Amino acid sequence: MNYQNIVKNITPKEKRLENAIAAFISGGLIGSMSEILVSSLGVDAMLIAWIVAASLLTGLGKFDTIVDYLKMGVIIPITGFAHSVSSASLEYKEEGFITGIGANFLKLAGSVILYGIVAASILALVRCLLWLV
Amino acid sequence: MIIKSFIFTGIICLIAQIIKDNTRLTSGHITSMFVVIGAILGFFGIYDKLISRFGGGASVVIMSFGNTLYKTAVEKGILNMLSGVSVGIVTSILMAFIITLIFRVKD
Repeated sequence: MNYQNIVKNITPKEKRLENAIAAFISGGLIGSMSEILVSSLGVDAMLIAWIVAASLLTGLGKFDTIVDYLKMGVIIPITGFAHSVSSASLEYKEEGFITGIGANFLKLAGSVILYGIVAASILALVRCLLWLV
Repeated sequence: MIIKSFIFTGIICLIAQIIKDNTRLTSGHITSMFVVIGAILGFFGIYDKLISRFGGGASVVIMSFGNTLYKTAVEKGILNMLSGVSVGIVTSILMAFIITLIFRVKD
């Protein structure tokens, strides 16, 4: 085995470990801060706080840098949903209010809403049928 | 409870990161998948137990979105399911519009 093969074998795994640790710690910190917000202000206020923060950071152009460091830790919480709406909206600003922002703002978040609704409908119907039986 | 929230959200994000690094799925695939998983956990009554055990950490992850959709569909009817998640969706959309008016993309 020459040097390049060794590098090839080792580099991605090491990065994976770093990514995993970054995601665990950042996700965990968001989780604990959410717990503090929920116990003091309630669930809705917690969601609003994260969405406002994530949208502002997206507007300032800082969110992508944060994702580079914190990985899925900021995508899986509600901050990722808020970022997907505001980044799509911001990206299509130049194309106008209707054909740009209006037509594209749910480009990324749409799949979450679509498959959430489909899955919840099917499961609610299944529950209904089980109840009838 | 704060430490429990840390561990719960941390592990969920860790799982997502492992899926992302080891498969070809994008963040969009993974978040959609997690919403569906949340709805399924809600169906089995597991997700509410997770929320009562792990607190805010379980409410902030996107799985909670699927769980709330399912729960509202059962309680208020399928066609009213969005009423449970309207805070998140409406706030995101309004904030997106406001920041789009204020900021522009930096290249």
